[in-house]
Amino acid sequence: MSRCDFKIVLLGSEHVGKTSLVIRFVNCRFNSGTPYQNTIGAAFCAKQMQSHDREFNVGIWDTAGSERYEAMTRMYYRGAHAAIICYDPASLASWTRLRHWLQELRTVEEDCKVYLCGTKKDLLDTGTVQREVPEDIIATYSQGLHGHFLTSSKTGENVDELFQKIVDDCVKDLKVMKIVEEARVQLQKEDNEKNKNYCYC
Amino acid sequence: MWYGHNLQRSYKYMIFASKMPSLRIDQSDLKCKNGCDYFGNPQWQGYCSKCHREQLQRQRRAEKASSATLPKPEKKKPEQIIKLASHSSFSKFEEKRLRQSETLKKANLLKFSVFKKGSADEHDHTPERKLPEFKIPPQVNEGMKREFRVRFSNLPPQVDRESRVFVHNFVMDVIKCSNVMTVDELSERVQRHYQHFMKYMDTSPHFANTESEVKEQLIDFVEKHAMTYLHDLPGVVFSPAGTDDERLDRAMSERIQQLSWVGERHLECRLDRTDSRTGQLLYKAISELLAVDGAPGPGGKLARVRRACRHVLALCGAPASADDLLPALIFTVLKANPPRLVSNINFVTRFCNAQRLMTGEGGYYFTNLCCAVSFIENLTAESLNMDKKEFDCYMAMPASIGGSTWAAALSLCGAVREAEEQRLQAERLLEDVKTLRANTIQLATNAETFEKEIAHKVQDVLAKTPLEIKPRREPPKLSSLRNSTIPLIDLDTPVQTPVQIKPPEEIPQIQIPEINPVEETATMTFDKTNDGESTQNIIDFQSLDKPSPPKSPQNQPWELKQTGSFELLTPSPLGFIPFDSRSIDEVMTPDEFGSDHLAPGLSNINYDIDLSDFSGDNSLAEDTPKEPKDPFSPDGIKKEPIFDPFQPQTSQSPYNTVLEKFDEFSLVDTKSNEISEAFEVVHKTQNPSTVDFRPNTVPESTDPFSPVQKEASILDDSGSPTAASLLPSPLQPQTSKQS
Repeated sequence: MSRCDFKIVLLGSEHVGKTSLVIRFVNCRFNSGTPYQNTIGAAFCAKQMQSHDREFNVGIWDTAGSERYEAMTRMYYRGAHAAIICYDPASLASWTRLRHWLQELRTVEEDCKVYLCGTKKDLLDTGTVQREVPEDIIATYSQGLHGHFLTSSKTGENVDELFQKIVDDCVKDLKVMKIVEEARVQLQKEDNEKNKNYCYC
Repeated sequence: MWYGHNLQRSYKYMIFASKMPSLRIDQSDLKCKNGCDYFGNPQWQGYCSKCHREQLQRQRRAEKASSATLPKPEKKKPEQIIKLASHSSFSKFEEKRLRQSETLKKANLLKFSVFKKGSADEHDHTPERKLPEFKIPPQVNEGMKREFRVRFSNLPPQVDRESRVFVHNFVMDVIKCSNVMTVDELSERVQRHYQHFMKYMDTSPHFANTESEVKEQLIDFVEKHAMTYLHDLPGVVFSPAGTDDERLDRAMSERIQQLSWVGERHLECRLDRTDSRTGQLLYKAISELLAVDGAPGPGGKLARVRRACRHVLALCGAPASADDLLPALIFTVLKANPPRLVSNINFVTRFCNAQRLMTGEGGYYFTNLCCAVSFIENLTAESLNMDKKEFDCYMAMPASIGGSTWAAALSLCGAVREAEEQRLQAERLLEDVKTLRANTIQLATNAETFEKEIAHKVQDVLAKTPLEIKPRREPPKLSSLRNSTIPLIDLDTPVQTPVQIKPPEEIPQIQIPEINPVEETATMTFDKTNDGESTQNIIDFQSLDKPSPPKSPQNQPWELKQTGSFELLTPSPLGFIPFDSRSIDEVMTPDEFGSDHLAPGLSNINYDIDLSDFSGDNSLAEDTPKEPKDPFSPDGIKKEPIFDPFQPQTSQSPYNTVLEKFDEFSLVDTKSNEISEAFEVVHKTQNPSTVDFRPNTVPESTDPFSPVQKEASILDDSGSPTAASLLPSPLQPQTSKQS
């Protein structure tokens, strides 16, 4: 699986559970798919998913959440089709950092769909931790985004739904496809023009 | 020729320059950059044709040398000046050069736009002169053909041709454009070429049924071949002229050298460097990173990066995420200091198929590498979570000091790897030895069990077969003892006489008298011995038969005879098989057997056994019916074995012990000489024990035959193997005497 149809980037500060999310998603739902990734690590995962009766290869890129690498994250989401920004509802710091990525994505990668993902839902449900990020703030932020999910990697709650929605959106978004097509047509046109320009050299 | 052209060209340039002052191209701009008085040409990077050629060759040589010996930064003189200082001096020069090349390019474009109309002939000239230089060597085509055949054997041949045409056009186009375009434009153009090819694959009817997997392979294939060729051209796609890739390479390598003190603890990656496995993985990752520079195509470079990153991931432990991967990768890059790192990264970013670079595993790892490089570039005290002063201290440290630890780390890596390899090899050898030992034991046990099995089987067979033989033989023998004794004696006695005649010819007579009396006296006992033989035969074959002794409940001397007779008889069944085919009937005919035949109870087997011994004599006699009488000596010799059984009786007194063990032959020997016993002993051992009896004796017989030709001729006449087998033993003593 050298090429993927969609590129999904996982963003979020350290210890919010990005890697767990990926591992949960990749290992649990389709045990038959892409076993070769599991032994190596969860830095990059590729998986086959179905949407609209078609098979798609989804590549999930994990990123380093440490603040010292923040400047580099831009490289990761270059050309991404979708981005999942993770935060821990029990940690306000993770939420504040989230805003940084939101801004970046909006300005740098306009076409990239952004999803918010609150992790560790099981801890919230059992009451072991207290919610620090107010829900109303989350609601306001997620308005302009493509979706918000509260997931639990431990129980697997909402994990599959999140990824399925992303893929569905990507497929549905014919714009993505169109852009590719248009780009090709455009390129061809340009090609012809350029050929005219350079045919003498 | 070159110069002539050049002159012409420069002359034209001059004319245009003087004709159109509005161009504002300074004459010095048109001169060769080298400063020789010829005019330069932007197509040749501002050199005149000659200088350009030299420059090109020099560049190529340098390229080759650097790629062959690898780490370029290490080859370079260790510049101990701190980065800033070196930059200030070097970057100025570099920038100047860059600016120069940029202006030249612009000038080039300008000139073309201006000259295009005015100098059609000149323009026609240019591509003509360029073509030989840019001609794609046939190896590219051949290589493509070969690989296509191997990898895409199921695709139609048109695809092969078209892809080759595509690559050819692609390469030519890139080369053409490389002089007039900036790198980014060129990169875009290359990407367009890729997309063009993809589109072709989408629309072409040849690909209607092919899977997308194959299509990707095909585009990789095209990319690989086009880029591999372009990669080796200096300054076209790899660190192209007009970019500061080379300078960045140098800066990066210096920077990494300066940061050699950065260890895993600074980067907060969990690495246990004392673990041999860690060292090995690290070394693998480093060697893959170093090899990136050697791979010609972007796909190959990407694959190397991917492999390196996988090793790094393995280094981090099982559930490694990006949080572990990136620091470990940075650490690896710092330790590896790969040559021409920036150039390589730029080359891949610019000219790799963008779609693959953006998505997919290789793209991910490559992005990580880019991140690592950019992190190293912008590394500060904060990014290492350390005190600014300390950081400055480290950075101010001469690179040589830091370099020593770095080099030590690398060499340590190498040493560890070597030791590891040797250890592995030693382990492998030990393993081999173990398996070998196990195999030998296995073999031994197998052999043992096999032996046991065989013994067991033999015993089984022996246990089964004797039962049949016993009852048949015993009764007839008892009856035949009386019936057959008389004819047997008659037969034997005439045979004995020739023996007596023979010895006078060759054997000293002193011994003969001894034999004669024995035989004569034996006549009475002889009958019994024959009976004894028959019983013994049974006994011997059966080996376990104990009922037989009671049936022949005679004295011990009988038993002694039995041993001798038994051996006489044993060879007979052995030699019997070939003998049968030849002359069973003949065997049956002789008088002796006619007489034996009379015995009612005798089984076929018994006959055969008895016959075979005599048969040798008989067959010989029949073959040369008249001869035996004349040259009794050979016959007599042959018949000696027959007499042997009887002789044991005679020789009971002196040779009791020997006879118990020895054959008829031994007896003959006793007759002839004691000296020859050595030979005979060999015979004895061979004769009774194995079927090898004949083969062993045959060579022996041939040897002695050469001296004694008479006997040999007789033997040749007889030709029967049994005869031969019987003959040698008596012959040997003779030869020994002669010699």
